[in-house]
Amino acid sequence: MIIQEDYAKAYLSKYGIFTPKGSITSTLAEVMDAAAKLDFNVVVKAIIPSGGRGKAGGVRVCRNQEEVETYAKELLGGTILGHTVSKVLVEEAVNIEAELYAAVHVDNVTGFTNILFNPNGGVDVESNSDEIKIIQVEPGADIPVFRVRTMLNRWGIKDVNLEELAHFLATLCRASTDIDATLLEVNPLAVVDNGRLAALDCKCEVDDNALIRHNGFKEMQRETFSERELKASKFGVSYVPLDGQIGVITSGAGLGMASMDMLNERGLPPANFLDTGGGISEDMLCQALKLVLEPPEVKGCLINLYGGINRMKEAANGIAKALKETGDQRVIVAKILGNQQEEAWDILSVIPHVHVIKVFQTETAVDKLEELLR
Amino acid sequence: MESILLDTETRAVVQGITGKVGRAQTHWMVEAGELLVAGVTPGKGGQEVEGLPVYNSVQDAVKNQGVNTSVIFVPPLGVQDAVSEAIDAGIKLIVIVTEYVPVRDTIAIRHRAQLTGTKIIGPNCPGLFVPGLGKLGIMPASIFQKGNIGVIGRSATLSYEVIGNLTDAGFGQTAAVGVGGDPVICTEFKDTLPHFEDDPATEAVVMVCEIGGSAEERACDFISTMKKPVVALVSGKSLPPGKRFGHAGAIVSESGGNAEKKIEALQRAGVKIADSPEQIPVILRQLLRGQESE
Repeated sequence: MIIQEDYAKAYLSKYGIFTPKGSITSTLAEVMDAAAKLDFNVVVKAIIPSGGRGKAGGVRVCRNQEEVETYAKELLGGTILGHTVSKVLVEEAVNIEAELYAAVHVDNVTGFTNILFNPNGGVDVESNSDEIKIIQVEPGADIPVFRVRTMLNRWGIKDVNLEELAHFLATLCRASTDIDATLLEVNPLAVVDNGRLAALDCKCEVDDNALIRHNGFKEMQRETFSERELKASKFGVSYVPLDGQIGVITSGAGLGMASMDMLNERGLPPANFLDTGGGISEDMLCQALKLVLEPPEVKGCLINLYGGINRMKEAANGIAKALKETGDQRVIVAKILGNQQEEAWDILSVIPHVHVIKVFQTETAVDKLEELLR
Repeated sequence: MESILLDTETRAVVQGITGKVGRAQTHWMVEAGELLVAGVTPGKGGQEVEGLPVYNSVQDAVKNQGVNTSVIFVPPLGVQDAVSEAIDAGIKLIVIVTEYVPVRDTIAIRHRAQLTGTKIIGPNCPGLFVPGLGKLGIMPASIFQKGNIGVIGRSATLSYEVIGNLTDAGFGQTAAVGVGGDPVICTEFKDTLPHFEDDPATEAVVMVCEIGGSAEERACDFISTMKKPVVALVSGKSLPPGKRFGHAGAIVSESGGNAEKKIEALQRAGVKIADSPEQIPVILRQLLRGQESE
């Protein structure tokens, strides 16, 4: 999950890292109020879950009341990089002498925690990627400041307080480990008045599996879900919205991806994808099918389940229950195999618009769906 | 009898045997073979599950039952601790079935396993199945048939579909190894392929691949040295980048993971690519017939 900028900065400041004063706002009145407290010498930023915001016009320095008002009106409710802006961060403007780049990320292949540093940061950091320097840190370990300082000297880094920079990078590494971040990026890391370092922006991605051991993150994640994703998470499944017309339910991600590949190949692109995972029950399947059939653009549905230990009779009962309760008449092709398959087939074969597939070949199910929708 | 990772000397313990999933899966593992000899749940020592004695610690299970292998069903945040306990007790092969283990925990587990020479499969994996011997994990016995094809898969359910298609077409299996769907796993394709290459009973290997990461690419150096034919299925090739499809590891990002690159790399290494699970037996038939006539 991407942690919102203001939370990420508040987190960094707990480690003694300097971040500009600021507040989150969602109405024009709130923006003006926050800006007034900072004498209208502020940076106004759109809060969106995406990088590249600065270049797309989502960040602006404002020097007076009019500038703040004009820009805030433009931002709030507007769209940046495809995201509707509903929150704006108003921060004190600082004098920037230089912009550096720093990040810590976990390298899945080597297992090392990598500290990345680029003496040329800011919005164009990607075009300076050949200048990027890397320090590898043992999994889970801290890095001593002297070792960072040694590397900075070796790289010939100049025009910045090396002691402070070394300390900052070692601290960023520790902060990243503590919060289970897969990426903790500060760009720009600015040199401000008197050579002091300031984290002007912070992108923090926390491992979804670790959210549970950090206070408040699980709730924060729910705030970022769409309505249907939220519903799905409440009954313990994952839901991915897509652009096509076929609802897809499978008992596993790999089977789901293979099924969607076949659907796409036939020109039957998925409208959504719901992965039941392992804990199939009657109630879960009932809710799952209702959810997948919710979008009106769904023309038909492919259900592809394999029950190793999951009882497929319960799955079939769930499907039947959902259709009975909603009266939905759209075409459903259900390939169901495994534990209690015969009982499941019996339950579903009496529903006229449900077509049961009893073989291992998903192609057969896709063939049937194609034929029925033609 | 020796086989892929398991043999008749395997004496396995179930860590988390008294939990809901551990208990249910123990039933099926006992039904599929005789690999299990004990269970562990701290504080539940003295109980019995499916006829297996339950101990308070892995060390007790080692002392009393000569355990040398573990299969783990404990909750995600307890996995790192459970693995540490097993390693400290001298266990040399560990299967982690548990899903949702934090990535930094897995990295720490993998790091420690490398230092201690412990073989770890998973996390978030269906485990090992050897027809005729038994299973550690959750793969359903009904889809298997003893034969000469090795299967390695990232996805559990897609591997089942592949194995079901193989069995339907008359291709039995020597073993199936589910390596897991997470972005970091302790044993990947490149670590598993050598077992099948060295196994006299295996005649060909099927890889069940998917988008995300670069484990397929990392296996290519070894594959190009292999004598046995390899067939691969890469799922997710039609899916948009930037979205996660159930598996934490199955995401195409700016840094890579897309299906075309994987397919290209695999083909360069000599792998035959199947477009669907149904095609795998068709390709195998051509490959193995070709070998016989040589």
